[in-house]
Amino acid sequence: MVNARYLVSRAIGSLVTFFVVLVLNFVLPRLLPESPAQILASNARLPQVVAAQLTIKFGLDQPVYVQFEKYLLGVFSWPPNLGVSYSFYPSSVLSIILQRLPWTLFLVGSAVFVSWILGTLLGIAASMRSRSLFDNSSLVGAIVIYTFPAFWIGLFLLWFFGIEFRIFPVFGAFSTSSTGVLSFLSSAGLHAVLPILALVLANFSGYFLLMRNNMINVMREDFVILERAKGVSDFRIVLNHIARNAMLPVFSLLSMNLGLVVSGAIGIEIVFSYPGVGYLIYQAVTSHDYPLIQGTFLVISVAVILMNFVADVLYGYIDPRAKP
Amino acid sequence: MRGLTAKYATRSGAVTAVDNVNFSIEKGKIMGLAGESGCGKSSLALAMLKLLEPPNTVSGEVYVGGQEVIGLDGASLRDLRWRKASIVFQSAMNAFDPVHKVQSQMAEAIRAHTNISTRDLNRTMDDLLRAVRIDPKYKKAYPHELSGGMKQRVAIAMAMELRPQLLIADEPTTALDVVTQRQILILMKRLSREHGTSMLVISHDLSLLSEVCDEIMIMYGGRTIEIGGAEEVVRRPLHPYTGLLLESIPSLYEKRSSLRVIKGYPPSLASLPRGCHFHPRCPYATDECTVTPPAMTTLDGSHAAACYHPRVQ
Amino acid sequence: MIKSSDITNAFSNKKLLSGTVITATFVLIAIFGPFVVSNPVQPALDLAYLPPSLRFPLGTDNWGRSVLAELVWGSRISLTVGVVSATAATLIGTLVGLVAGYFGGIVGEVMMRLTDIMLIIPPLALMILLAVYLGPSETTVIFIIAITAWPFIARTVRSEVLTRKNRTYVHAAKVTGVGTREILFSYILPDILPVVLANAVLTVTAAIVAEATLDFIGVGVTSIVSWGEILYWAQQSAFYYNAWWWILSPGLAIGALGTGFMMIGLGVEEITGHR
Repeated sequence: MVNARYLVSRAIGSLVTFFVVLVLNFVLPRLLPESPAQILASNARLPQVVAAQLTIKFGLDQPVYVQFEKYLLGVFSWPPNLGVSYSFYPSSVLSIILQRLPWTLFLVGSAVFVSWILGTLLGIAASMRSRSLFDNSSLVGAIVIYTFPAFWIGLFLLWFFGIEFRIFPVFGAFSTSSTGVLSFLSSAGLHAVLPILALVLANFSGYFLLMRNNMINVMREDFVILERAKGVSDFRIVLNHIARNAMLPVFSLLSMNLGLVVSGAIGIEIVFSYPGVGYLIYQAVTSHDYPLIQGTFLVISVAVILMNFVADVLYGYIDPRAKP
Repeated sequence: MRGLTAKYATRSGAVTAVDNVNFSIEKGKIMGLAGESGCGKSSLALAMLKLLEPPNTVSGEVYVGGQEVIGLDGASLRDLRWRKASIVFQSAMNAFDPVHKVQSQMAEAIRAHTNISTRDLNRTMDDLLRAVRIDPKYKKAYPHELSGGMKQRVAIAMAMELRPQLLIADEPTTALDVVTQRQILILMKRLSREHGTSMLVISHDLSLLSEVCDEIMIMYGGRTIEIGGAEEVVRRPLHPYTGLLLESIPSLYEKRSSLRVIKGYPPSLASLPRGCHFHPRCPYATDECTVTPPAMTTLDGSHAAACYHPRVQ
Repeated sequence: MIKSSDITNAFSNKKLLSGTVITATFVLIAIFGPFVVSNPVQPALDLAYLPPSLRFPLGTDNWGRSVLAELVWGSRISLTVGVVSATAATLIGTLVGLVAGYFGGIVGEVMMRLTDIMLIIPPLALMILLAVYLGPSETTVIFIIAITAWPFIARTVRSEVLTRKNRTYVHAAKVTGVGTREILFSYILPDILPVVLANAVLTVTAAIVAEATLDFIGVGVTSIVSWGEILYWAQQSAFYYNAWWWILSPGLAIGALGTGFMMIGLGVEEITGHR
């Protein structure tokens, strides 16, 4: 049974984080020497008339607390109102983001899952042959890969598998010529291979290193010796006891690292023009679409907060000692 | 058990933690093993079930009910463990896997050795827990939800589950309060009598051992230095070390004006002195003691000591 | 505490040694390199997209500029931004970590929650948001990297302080009337300094990557050539001309410098026996 106090404390933590994100999102643009209205007006891509309309529509001439109230009312209305995009005018920020969000969730979800499995399995394998050639070379490899920016790993894969050998598609999330569900799915799968691979390479090191070290530490625990004294098979001891315990910190890393994985995904989506939220941020930045930049920050943060909460709840199930 | 030697492979060469130790325990009897920390007593416990992994080495012979242990390997070794000889660790240590329920840890060894139905398994576990005065409902608890004393009772129940011929208990009462210590020892003595299980109880607390054990063995620097009936060893210690060890224990019954402390520190197993390992701290040491180690000599019936200057009274 | 045996070990530690050699090489290149190779601003379109040759060891870019020269000049940005922002992050993180770990009350709790919150917010998204509103400059980049990196230091420092605040030497200091500030800075801080140093160096690696990523997205340093900016331009056209050298070399430079700092950090952790 998961401790109810644990759940409540996690939920409160997530809500507080959500509130901080809301405040940051509201305050940051207003801390600037240039008022958002001026930034709006100076935006060359935007017709002056529209800019003026938007200024009034956003109520940027009103006192800050009134603006904050309106902002909160907007966020908490249903559907939430995050404003209107400049570059995709007159689409609402929320509708654009919601269109892109599934792609990013798909990318991040698969990458986290694959890197976790890969890191865990490699970590178990390396710890079983601690200080062997296999162990040492995977250690060095993991450390070296870790130091490359995720987006560059993406660039490298794009060049190697996409340009040099033309094995995988390198642009977008699916082929526009695909007709029917099956052909769409296979095309989407093929398009996701390189971005996911890049994200996995950029992320599995942490899980691998942590798993390997934990395995080696848990192996020395008394209960492992006792399991051997019980005559339990080595296979069972390694999986059911050593790996099971070594996995716990890796799982907390999983939830703690979600923000970093999403960050990596932003860079990789840009490289592959993958139509997720990360690529959307890039488009918003290059077209000075401020409402869209703020909206993506908000939605991405909320997504990570939610995923983090889910990971914490799951942790409560796999570690009986989990406390608030 | 004959000539058991255990060596640890360390960076600076092999360290001998258990050096040619010999003893035997009769059926249903309890042997106590005492010594300061780092004298090799825990290593002895591990070595007896061949639990020291390579590159550490164990040599010699250990017989449990006629079956030799050290020569075994793989499946036959796994089969012998727990069924013929089981072990109980100090409760303060992590002798339980923190993420599994008590019942699954209890069931694991039974399942590994027998084909038992789930119903029988549950009944067996309930009986075992009742035998150690634990409410069977606690089998659904996680180790961290139990107190130290309860954990220790469960550990003993677990060690008894396959009715082994030998139970090794390494510091079974350390880190428990005095009342609980006594209860645990009485429990062990009762189980030993009821099931005819021989026990090896390891402790640094000689007075505690003298209360429950039939025989007592003293170790110093990896070697046996004295062995004999519990009464004999405690009343008439032969080795100067045993004598000093006894004098360093505060007694509830006798009034002693001053508590004596053994001068110096227990030696490190990595750099043991030549000759008798105890000679640098021994008040009776002579030149002889610094050269060759004394052999075990039987002096008084079954009471033996390894000393050139035994304290025969 | 740093012991003299740690220092002798330092010279025999392979990780620390190789890390120092790699990092020192880049530092020397950053200091003296620009005097050897000229500033690569002048475009020469007839020399564009040339593969590596004797004249251009790492080839040229779309403007016909030597990629090697760009890398040499760019190393200054990577190193300064990396080291300065990591130092700032370490200072903030250590202070917050000390307070959050040592004080149990509201202050400690607030600091701890703040750290946790900052850890959840996706760092790159926050960095982009800040960069967009603060405008592209070296100072901005240093500031926003420090702002997003300190929670990682604070978390480590906090857990180190927690394990120490009930140790005998802290109690002894308290009983003898040593002030709280002195306990924190003269007793606990020296004790956890190796951990702080190791994490500071590891943060440099992360900061170098972050700087390159911001430049690559186009919200970083744009006035001076930097490694990330080389990749920003390379991504626009390198693939059409198969100019692999233009993509490969900046990435390898980032990786090599990052590995250098990483090795130093791991080496420090190894000798001081932490982790």
